[in-house]
Amino acid sequence: MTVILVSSDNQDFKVDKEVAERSILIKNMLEDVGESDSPIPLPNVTAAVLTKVIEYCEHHRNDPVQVPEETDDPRKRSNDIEEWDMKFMQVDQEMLFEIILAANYLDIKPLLDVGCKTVANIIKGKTPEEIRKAFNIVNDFTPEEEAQIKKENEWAEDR
Amino acid sequence: MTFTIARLSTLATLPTEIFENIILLLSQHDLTQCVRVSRAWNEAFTPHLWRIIPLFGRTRFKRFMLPDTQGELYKNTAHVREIQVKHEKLYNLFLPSRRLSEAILSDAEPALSDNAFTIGPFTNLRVLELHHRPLARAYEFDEGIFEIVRQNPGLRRLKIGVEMEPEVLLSLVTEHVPNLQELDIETPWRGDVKALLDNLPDSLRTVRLKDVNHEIPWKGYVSSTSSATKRRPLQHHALESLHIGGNLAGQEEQVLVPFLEGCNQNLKTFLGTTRVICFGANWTHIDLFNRCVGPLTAAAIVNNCERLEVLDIMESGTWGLSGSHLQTILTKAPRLRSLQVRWLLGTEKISSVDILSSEWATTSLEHVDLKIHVPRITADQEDADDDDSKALRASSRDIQRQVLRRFGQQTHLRKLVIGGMAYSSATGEFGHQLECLEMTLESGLNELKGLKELEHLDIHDMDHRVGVPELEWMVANFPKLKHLHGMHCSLRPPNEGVQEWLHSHQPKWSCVCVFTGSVL
Repeated sequence: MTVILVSSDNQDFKVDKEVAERSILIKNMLEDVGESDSPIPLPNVTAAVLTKVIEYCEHHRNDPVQVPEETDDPRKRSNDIEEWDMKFMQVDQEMLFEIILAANYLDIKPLLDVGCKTVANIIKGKTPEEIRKAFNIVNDFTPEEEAQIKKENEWAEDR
Repeated sequence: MTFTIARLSTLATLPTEIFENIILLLSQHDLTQCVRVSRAWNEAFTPHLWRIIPLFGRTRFKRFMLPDTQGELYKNTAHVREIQVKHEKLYNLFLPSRRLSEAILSDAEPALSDNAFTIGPFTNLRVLELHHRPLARAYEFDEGIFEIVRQNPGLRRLKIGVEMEPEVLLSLVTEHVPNLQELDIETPWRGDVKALLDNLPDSLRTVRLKDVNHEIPWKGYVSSTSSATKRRPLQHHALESLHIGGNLAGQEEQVLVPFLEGCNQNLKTFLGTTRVICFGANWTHIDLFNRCVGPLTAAAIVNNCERLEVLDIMESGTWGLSGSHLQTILTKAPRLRSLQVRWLLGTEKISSVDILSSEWATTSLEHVDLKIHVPRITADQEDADDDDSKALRASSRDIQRQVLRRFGQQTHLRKLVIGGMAYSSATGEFGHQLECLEMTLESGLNELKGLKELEHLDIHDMDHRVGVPELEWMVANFPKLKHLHGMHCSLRPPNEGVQEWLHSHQPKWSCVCVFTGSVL
């Protein structure tokens, strides 16, 4: 059975129901709507992003549904991304953030996780200047201000 | 798509939940770099950087005590959720600091206490862990610790590794942490343990009192009415794990029994070096190293062993748990994984009768440590050829085979210890086990062929008869065997060829002789 998803820029996407239901939002919508054939509007997701999201869901269509882990340690790891996912996430930053926002809106937790891990990996191990370059950010601190901040927080740095 | 570029310009503008997801993946060091990137990033990341204050190590501690850091700390105390300090100069955090007051006065802030740690009180602490190496008496900073705890009724985890005045600690723990889930007192605590236990917060899930020294209050023994505490109905339904070490001055029953009775609902793990006579049906681990197990305790264990996974009672008690108790446990505890009762049966080994009287409920045993009694024939009868001797020999070997068959069914078994000296009622002395398994192929060794996971086999101080055929069989059937103890200290000279075989074959096991400690 297929469903039709409509992006914010009015493009139709025909998708297998099983694939679409990787999104809990869509899954719930379909349950409410029942057997109707009407297309599902997704006003927060553009066609370009939706294409990527559908690609992810297709590839992962047979994955077991994730059960939320209840571990005592809230600190998670970011070094366990599958190879396919890693290649999938090699997009420009704009798209990266759009995918994250879309995964959040559509409630696709695995995709959201991969997105967050990817962003974290961009930050990890970098100096402030390297982070600025990576995210195209302008430094609005004076050198003195930045030095002061460094001093105040130096205790927390690894050495 | 231009709006997305503006949205992109700071990671910090992502929705909060997503941002926090990413934060959880970053180390504290990463966060120190992020707060320097730009003003927007600084504002977004700083609260998270200050969530945890881990002070281990000299460098970090020194940097933390600098005025600049302290100034920043002052602004961010509301964000601090966890403080973990392990440093011998811990008390520095609680003593007046001149530099500190200067830093604060220069900002024209109202004068606060001079204490470093009570600057801009922490009010959102969830975890407080304080350790130091005991260099000096440190009651001076009790007040500082008291203040922090008192200001943080939301504390979930409290670990105290510093010595505190017993009354202060008692009051702290019983009155000021109503939401505490984990309590860990590492340092020796001398005081009224009953008052402590009776008045612990109901929310506790884990309690560890490493080294208590129960002192009956001088006012007279009705500890529940001591001045600092009042008696409340006991209802520690949330408690899952209790570790209590130390000395209860013979007051185990009065102190522990009412407490344990009040919290048996969820209690799964109890570790104690004290005598205990009360167990709950949910217990999976019983570990009473070095303590006597009396008859009441034994009965309690037997009555509540359905969920038991671990029973470790290694103590030279001569009363209490008997072979027949163990037999009952073996038939009633399907989840039993570890059964270590070696010294327990000082006068009594578990007899083959008890082992064989019914099927064992468990097939998950991984670690067994006990001594087994089987009837053996005398040295004369061994070589004799008359019918009586033959019959006795056959009967003994048959029993041994059946015993070994029971063990052979425990295919997860990794460690099997049946060796060691035992008390013999015949001679009235401690000595080698004489009426024990021979561990030969003729007497059923091959029944153990299913023990492919076996790593450790201990048959020392036993009158076993392991010879070269047995050793070869073991090489062939115990692929994971790493240790075999008992080849050099049998009563009689080793079987023919054993020394040479061990020498020439050099199996990958280590064979330790207990007496001389020499390793082959």
